[in-house]
Amino acid sequence: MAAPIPHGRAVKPGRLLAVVGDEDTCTGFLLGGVGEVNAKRQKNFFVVRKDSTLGEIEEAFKHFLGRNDIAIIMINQHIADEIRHLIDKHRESIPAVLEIPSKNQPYDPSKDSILKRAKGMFSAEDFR
Amino acid sequence: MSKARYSMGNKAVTALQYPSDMEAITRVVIDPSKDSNYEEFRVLRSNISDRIDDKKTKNGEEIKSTVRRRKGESGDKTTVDKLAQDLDKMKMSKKEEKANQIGNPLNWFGVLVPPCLRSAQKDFEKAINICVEMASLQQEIHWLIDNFRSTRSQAECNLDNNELADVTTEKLQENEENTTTPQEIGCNT
Repeated sequence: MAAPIPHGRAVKPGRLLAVVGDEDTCTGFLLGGVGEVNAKRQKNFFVVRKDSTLGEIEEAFKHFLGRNDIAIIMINQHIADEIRHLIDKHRESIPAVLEIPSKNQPYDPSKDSILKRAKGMFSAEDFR
Repeated sequence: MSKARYSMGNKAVTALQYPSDMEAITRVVIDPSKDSNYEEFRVLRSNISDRIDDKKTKNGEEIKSTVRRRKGESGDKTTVDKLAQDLDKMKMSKKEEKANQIGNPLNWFGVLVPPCLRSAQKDFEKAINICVEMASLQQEIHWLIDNFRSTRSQAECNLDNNELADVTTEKLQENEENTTTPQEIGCNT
């Protein structure tokens, strides 16, 4: 189902990439051209600052999950750790949630929700 | 980006430079995978000048009408046509330049930006391509996990049925007078 079309704007093909990250991550991806503010003044990015609360991050993430014009949500892994319960609960394929490293925190595959699910498939019994 | 911030100043490359109104030039298209039932993602970059054309078709019509007028004049038509084409090209390139300036997120940070910020933009564009590829691979992993689980549970179900059939056959052999039919356990897959 397409989002309501504002009067005078043509329908754009494709969906958006959302970003939940620190300032440098968001600025970088916006430089790459993914940023958009729609007719309802809703952004497809959320800049997580030092004073951002857990509630604000959760609300932004849930908002992106609920939108039907977002295909991929990119989130810094250290921020994903704070809302791990929400990410693990998300089982739909669209939007896809992609955990990315930040400037200060390198990527740790053992924390990634998708890889944890894949790892949990196999137990010692499978290899008998 | 840090280098650009160092040369331009601490407050020059921050979230404060984001405009209040922006439109994405990089989007993602969802394609169904050829072999399997999962979806793949593909990057779609819109042409910045096309977006400006949508908003400014009036100018385009004026340019076309100029060409028509020139072609109608008497005299050396090839020279006039060439001049008209060159003029159009100049107008279009200026228009494209203006379009690039308006649509390019690089211009949020000023008219003259350092080359390190340009290279940061190119690097992030490459990073976006890689991220979209990774998201497609993630979809494939999801599909494989679900497929593996359903296949495994089916296999376990069949194994249980075979074991039960063996046990029943043994009982039949022990007790020749009684006849029982093996019953299959219903499997939830």
